[in-house]
Amino acid sequence: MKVQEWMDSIVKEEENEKFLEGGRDFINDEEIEKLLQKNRNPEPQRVRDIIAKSLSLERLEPEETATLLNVEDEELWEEMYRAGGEIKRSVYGDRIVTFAPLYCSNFCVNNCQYCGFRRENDLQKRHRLTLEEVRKETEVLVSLGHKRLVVVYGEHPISDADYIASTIQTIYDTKVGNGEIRRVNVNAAPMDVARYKILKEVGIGTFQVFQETYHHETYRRLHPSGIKSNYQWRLYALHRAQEAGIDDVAIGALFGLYDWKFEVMGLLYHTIDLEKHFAGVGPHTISFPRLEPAVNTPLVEETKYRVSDRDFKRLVTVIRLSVPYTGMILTAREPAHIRRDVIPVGCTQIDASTRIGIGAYSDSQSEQELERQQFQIGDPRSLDEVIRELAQMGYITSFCTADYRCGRTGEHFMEIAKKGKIHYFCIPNAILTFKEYLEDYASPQTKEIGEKVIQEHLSSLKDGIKPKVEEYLQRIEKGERDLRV
Amino acid sequence: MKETYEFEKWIKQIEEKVQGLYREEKLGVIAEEIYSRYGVRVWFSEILGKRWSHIAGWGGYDPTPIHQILLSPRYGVTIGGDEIPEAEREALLSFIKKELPN
Repeated sequence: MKVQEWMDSIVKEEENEKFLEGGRDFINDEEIEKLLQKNRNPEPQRVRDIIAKSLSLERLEPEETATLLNVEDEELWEEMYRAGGEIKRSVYGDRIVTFAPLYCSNFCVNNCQYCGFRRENDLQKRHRLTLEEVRKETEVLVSLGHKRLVVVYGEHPISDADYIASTIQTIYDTKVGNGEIRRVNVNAAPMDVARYKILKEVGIGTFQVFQETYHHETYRRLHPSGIKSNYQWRLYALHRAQEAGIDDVAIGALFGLYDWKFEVMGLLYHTIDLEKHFAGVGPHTISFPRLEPAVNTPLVEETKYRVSDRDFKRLVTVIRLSVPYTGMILTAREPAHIRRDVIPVGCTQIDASTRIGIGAYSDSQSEQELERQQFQIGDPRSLDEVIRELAQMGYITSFCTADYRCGRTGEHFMEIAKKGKIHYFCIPNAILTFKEYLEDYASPQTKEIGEKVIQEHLSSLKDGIKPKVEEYLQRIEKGERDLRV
Repeated sequence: MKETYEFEKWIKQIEEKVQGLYREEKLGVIAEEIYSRYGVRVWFSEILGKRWSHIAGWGGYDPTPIHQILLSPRYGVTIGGDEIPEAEREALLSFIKKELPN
């Protein structure tokens, strides 16, 4: 099929219609601007009442989020940072889930002005991994200790749903010693329901689509051509995924394209609309990448909406307070010192040992090569280094994939998360998978501090489950793997 | 003997109750019945590669050692705990298999 023919076959507006109200989508730019304007200079008591609501694990309403976004008082921000950390601990416990991205193809029909993969970027070296190359990349990642991946693809007929499904099957089939990838999340272009069903069949983890910017006019300007120029096709991508039976979906915005406060509001409205249409099942995770330099992409340097480090921490905090029960992903776009500062306000997942060049894990190149990357990463540290630092901060690193392999998905998962009980499962399984990592992959230094962290976390377990976890730990030491509750 | 009769009667009652229901509703009723009888949480999943995708039933908030049982290449059940007597468990699983869509 020719590229244009393929592009014409993708968008099916009728699949969005049932979700629109009077032909309009759920992002009302004027209303958002008005709310942000109206809630300026909030009273401290009003802010504290909203923080209290977040602490009770209730999702905030747009007006409340707009209020938090307008706080200027540094002391109130400190209270919000603390509340963010408290919410994260109460819902998920002191554990951080770790994964690695695997970029499979950088061919793209779109022309996003901020993206190194954009069609008109002649300096980008294009490649689509063969399935053999996917297997080699996976072997490297498994050898490092990874159990979770997010696979990434440009939007192009040569990386369509069938190719994506084949790569995922290849990843799942790859084993190295005790190791294997147990969960593959997908970051790919929006699809129609039929194509999502192809992905559903191979057992994907979460399907991610980031809106990039929720601001209609900015979106239009930055996506001048290609399928991605259709705002609503992208906005309802995850509604259609849920329609197809993919019940773990993830949203995100690329911060730096428009006003960060507006984008946080957009993420909240997106959450609310998914929850409204799918029995309370909103996003499984929210991502908040900041714009980073990319080869031959001047827009990144020119944007007037660049988000400062201070505002970045603030926006992460407000997302945490607005949607207390949802996972939050902080990627290696951010340098180590920012991650150290921001993880404690509520992040639940990070990537590590990240390389985003196509085929970059299995080649011998140790430096980043911008001409085959979508952007430049800020934290290139190894998985072992990241885990050691997390352990020094008191966090247990989790490779747990138990929930999605035993039917705690979608509504079932959300029910537990919204009640703040998911850590009852997360912490035991985090301990068990961390132990596997320490036995199979850790450096001696990481193993030493890791064992201490396990002991600290064991004491926090409920009496009913603690003996079982202790028994499982002994069995892992004797060579058993993949034990879980 | 009396116990066997009572168990069979219970299965018969569920069979009647779930007649004509959709897959999700049917499995939801079965999960509730199992919880009422044994105090054991079970939930059903559609198996898609490594993913067990939730269909119906409920696991509760307390972690317990779980047993994942294949009902067919497409469906599985997760059982929390060991409280279902061995003798009834097999018959129960056979009944559930019969109720699953092909």
